[in-house]
Amino acid sequence: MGYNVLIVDNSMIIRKMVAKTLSISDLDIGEYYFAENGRQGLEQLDANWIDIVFADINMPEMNGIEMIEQMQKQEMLSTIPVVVISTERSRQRIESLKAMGVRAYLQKPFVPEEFARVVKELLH
Amino acid sequence: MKTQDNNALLLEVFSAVFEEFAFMFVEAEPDLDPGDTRYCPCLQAEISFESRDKKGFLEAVAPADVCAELAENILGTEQDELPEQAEEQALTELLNVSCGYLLAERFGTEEVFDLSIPQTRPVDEQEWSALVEEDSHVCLLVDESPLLARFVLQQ
Repeated sequence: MGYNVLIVDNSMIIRKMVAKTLSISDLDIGEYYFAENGRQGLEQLDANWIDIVFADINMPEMNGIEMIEQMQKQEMLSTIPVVVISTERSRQRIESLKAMGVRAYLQKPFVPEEFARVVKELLH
Repeated sequence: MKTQDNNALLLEVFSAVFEEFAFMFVEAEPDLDPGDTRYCPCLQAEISFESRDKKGFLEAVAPADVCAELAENILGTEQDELPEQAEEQALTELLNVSCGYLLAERFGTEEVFDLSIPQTRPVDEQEWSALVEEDSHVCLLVDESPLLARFVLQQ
């Protein structure tokens, strides 16, 4: 059975780009779930079994940091690895994301090979 | 920061982002003709940023055809397969990435900036000509089509 992934980004372009990168990697992906903001992301997490979350930070309604904070408050959700994919380059913010439990940080635009390597390390 | 330095920074940032993101190439275009509107309709996108003591915005105006090509290249798909609003979203994502890159290049990675959600709107021939003429943007060529860019630091 493949890994179920949740991709949370307000940009349809990035959601499709992440899904495509996963589909051409040799990772065994099960279902793809999508959300346009943190609130929708939490709804998907409540409704589905998710193995890994890819999230942007800068999103309307509920941003990625707020979503991750909510995930950390719930025992079941706090164990799901989160990869943040963002344009953020501030060292302080990247460190604070890791302190919050974010397992990996990828800068946009990411290189597919680097993306696949990071995901494999987290899932295996 | 001098205008020339600002323009050089915009060229550097847009060149790097277009190339990394979409395999498209950017060069400076110092002599854009305001009367040449064959590239219209265009799209304008803007993103603002704010830190503890700085704020401003980054803007880009590009032909809709360039935005479509950008979307095709990012998604690896043909134009007739592009999803709805792909052109707008490709331009806003390009601007989003460029803004993060530009702020790090200009101010380093110690400062924390909050970015807005980028917004887009259409630009017609009349407005395009006015933007080229007013000379407040740097003019670039993306695979031989024009792109206007502006970085404004308000405080």
